[in-house]
Amino acid sequence: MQQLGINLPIRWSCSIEAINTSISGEPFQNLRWSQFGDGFLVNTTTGNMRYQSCKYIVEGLTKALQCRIVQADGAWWVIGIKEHLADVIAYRECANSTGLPVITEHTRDSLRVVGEDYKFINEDAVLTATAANKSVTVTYEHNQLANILPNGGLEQRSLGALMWWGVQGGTFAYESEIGSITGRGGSAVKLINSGPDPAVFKLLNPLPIDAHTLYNIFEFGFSFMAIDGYPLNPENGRIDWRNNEIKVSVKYTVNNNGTIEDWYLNEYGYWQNTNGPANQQVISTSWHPAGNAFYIHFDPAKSFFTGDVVFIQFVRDGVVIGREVLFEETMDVTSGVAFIVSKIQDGYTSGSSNLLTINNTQNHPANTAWTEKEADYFKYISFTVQGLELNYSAAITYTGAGSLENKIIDPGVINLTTGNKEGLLSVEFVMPAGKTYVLDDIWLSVNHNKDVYKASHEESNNTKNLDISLPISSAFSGFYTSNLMRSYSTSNTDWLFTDGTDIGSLTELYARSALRCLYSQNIVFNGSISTLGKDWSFIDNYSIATLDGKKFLPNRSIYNTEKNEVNLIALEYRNDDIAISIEHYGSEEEKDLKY
Amino acid sequence: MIKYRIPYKSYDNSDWLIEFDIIGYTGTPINARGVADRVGVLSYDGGVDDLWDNPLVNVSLSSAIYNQGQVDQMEFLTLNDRDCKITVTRNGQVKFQGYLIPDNQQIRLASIPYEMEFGATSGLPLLETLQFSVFGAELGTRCPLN
Repeated sequence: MQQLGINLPIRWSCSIEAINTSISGEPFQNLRWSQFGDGFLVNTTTGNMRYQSCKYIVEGLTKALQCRIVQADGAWWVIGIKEHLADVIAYRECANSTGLPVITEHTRDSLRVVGEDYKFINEDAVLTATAANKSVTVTYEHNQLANILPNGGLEQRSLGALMWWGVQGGTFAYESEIGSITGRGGSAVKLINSGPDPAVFKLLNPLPIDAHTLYNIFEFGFSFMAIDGYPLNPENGRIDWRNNEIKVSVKYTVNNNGTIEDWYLNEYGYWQNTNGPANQQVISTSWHPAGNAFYIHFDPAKSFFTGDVVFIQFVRDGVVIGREVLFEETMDVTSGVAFIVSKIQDGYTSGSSNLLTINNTQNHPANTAWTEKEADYFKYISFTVQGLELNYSAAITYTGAGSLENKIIDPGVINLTTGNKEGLLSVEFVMPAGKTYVLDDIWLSVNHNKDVYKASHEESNNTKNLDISLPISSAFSGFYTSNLMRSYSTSNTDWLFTDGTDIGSLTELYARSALRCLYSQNIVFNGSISTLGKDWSFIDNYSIATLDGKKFLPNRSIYNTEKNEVNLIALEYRNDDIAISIEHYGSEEEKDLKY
Repeated sequence: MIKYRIPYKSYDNSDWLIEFDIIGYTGTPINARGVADRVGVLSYDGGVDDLWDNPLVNVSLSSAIYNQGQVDQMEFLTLNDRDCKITVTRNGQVKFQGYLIPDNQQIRLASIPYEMEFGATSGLPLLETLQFSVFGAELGTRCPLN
């Protein structure tokens, strides 16, 4: 309203409040919206700022809280539909002043009786009725960026610090801002780890995503440039990726029958929470007196894959000896056995065999061998770019087992009972010791879907459905920039509200409230009334003589201030306690859901 | 500064006043007289029979006055959307404040006095094309109220 220039006091009355105690209570003062500009800046990735209109914001916020805004009696009133009906309206007022807001509390006697307080005139009053509805469908037409990762473009900084992303671990690991490597302007981050310990560059707080109802498909990628610390192939000067892959971890939390589990995206496009078996397997072991040899047969049809670990235990001179050999690159079985031999004293291979022989051992039950995947192997995806040289950028897209579109694992039901641990997505990049590289445009996209709640009164014989949309609301998914929430990472705790009757997202509450009013025909009063000697106001509500028990709210009014006449169109309002069933689904389900 | 004032009394003897605050005007207020029964009509538009799908209830003023030569109606034609703020008071209390709507104004090419009509809006429709932008320092704790 400040930008409009009609500077009047603001009065509001709204009883909807958040469940989370950090933002509960008086909604217009305690709720948070667009804390970081993400709600009204349409594009923060390219740097080409486009702003939302004031109408979008004013309409969206008032509607989300089931209010209407109107100028009346020298003030801007933001008044809840339900609250407008009170005989005595309790409201707060923010004075039209500069500096810190001055907020005071007031009440207003609002009930007027048409036929008594305001006399009928002209005998032109008629009653009609609105159509009744069986259901109300409310769609949250949320806003989001195509890249749902907050600051995934790595452009936004606050006082020099990168927003939402950062380096953790490592003694001498840090990031610095450099020019974009994508050729599209903006900036990127240079990740330097000059210390001896690995570190990670990560999304500092996980991103809530409702992958149960709304999002089941994703794509993921990033831009990369190796700067320093990568060995080069002496023949062509290109990066030798053996033991030097780009390691990325994408984690999603799942509620498995009440237990919260961390599931990790794997190289095949699916998710796992434990290591799978190693690719190479031990077929058999045996001991032979000739040479006191312990024989280990590997599967001749399988290679040793990166991350495969061979565990060997044998007894020599009465001592149990254990060996653990990690494969950091893929090798065929012959090369792999030779590699193991190089790590074990008195090991032997014929040179083209799947047989590993360890001499000078004793025949003992403790002799054994097996393979496993490296600890935490399942937590990382390894990327390489064949032919890449230092200081050349590469756009890397995760393809799973060959598909750009991959599934997101089901986190379990997201509803009122959901805690604050499930449905959280984390992304982190390993910063190996001694290496420097650049990251840019880390992106993750999901299928296009909208949050829809359909409230139905099943006992009704009516058939109509009313469609309503909300541009601003609350939802579990934190990448909805239009959400009422403190930040992207708190949407999973900020999305639940109560109107005193129900608990749910603002979208669900809207559907319920509208249906409690609109499930039945409502009377429309249209007639002229006299305001002689009265200070008529749009904030008044009405009962009408001869229509006992019904309450009306003004909807359209024409006030002839000189003649003291108002042509009043008022709608019957009800808030009946009816049985309501709720369906929660995505807009895609009505047309092109991808399963 | 207030350029025009239209005082009138309602049937119940309340004192009403319409004032035009026009950017750049520095003179003394000029009084004009309203046309009977049409000097001040406020319209509240909450949409068609639906409380739930139209949260913006715009208020507009329509008024008819006699131009006895003291009102520069050509100026009304050339004002920008928010150049002229109009305030309506009842017994000194503000009942409406908005902007003159210069669009679709008509001037009668007639000798004075003649009737002229004008309208004003509380401004909610103007929000459509007003971009919301703030200074960086304001990106702190943003609640709906601010």
